[in-house]
Amino acid sequence: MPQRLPPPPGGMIPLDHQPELFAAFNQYYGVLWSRGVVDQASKEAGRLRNARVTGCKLCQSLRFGGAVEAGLTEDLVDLIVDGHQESGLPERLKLVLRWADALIVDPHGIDDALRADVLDEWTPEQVVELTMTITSAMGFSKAAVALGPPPSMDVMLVPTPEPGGSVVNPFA
Amino acid sequence: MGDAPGWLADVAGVDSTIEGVLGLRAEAKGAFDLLWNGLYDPARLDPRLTELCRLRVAQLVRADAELGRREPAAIEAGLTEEDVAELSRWPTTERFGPAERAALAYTELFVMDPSSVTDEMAADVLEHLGAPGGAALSIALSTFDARARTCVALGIES
Repeated sequence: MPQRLPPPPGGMIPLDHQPELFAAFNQYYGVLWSRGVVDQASKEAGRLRNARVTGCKLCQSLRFGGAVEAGLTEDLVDLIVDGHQESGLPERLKLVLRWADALIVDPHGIDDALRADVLDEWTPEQVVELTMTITSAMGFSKAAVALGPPPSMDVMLVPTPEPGGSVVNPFA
Repeated sequence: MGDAPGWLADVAGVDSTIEGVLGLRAEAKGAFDLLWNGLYDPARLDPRLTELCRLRVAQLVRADAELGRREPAAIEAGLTEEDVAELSRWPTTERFGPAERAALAYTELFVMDPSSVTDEMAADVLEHLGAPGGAALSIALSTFDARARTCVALGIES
């Protein structure tokens, strides 16, 4: 299926029709990823869980370098699927996925037990950052899906987003 | 199961507001605010339309902290409380124009199931808003949905 909003000349994705606004998103996203207080593997697990739940092929294909360096292997990524709580994922990543599922599906479904587990694992500052990272990834995924499902893509290792960069064109 | 207003703010010792809680990550909050302010630039989208879509997102996510806010740019652009009161009835009320209706239809599926957005629905948005407007609306909805869910999850109250 073709994209419903083709990128402008010289652009890569539909959001390039608003270069300054998309740059502002990328600045925010880059700060979350590169100037944060949460480990890269946790944030990447949350991002990839969103990609699979939301159905964003583009987001599913990307691997951020910092998380790979931190040990998030493809064997672990393969476990970021439904039934993840019974998987062999480390407990910390299982908690990330519980939190991500709640954010994406129904944040009103968060219960006292999940809040307690989150506070046992992370400081309030880290909870804010992890939450903002997952929800911003979710928002981007929804835009990518709504504007026309991109085709399936091969897995691609890219640098972790930084302020001033681009989530879809990190080599720019 | 259920919401726990103020739970993270209480632990952190900050106000249970968007400013207080998200301010725990000050640099990210600053970057987010710059993004947010750009969404209400009238050169991109009519702030009244933008605010209607933000409030519809908030209704769908049931984000009370968002529902209680109004962006000044939207008020200046003519948004009234009567508009807000009619918002959930947008498919049948005559209060909203074609561009707003196209944007609100897109908003609902964007939030609930973006894979259900149809070619016709997207074309309707682009017909009324143009390509730059369609991109701006998509970035806006991404941002609104993200903040609404963040507010609910973190127990942010206003």
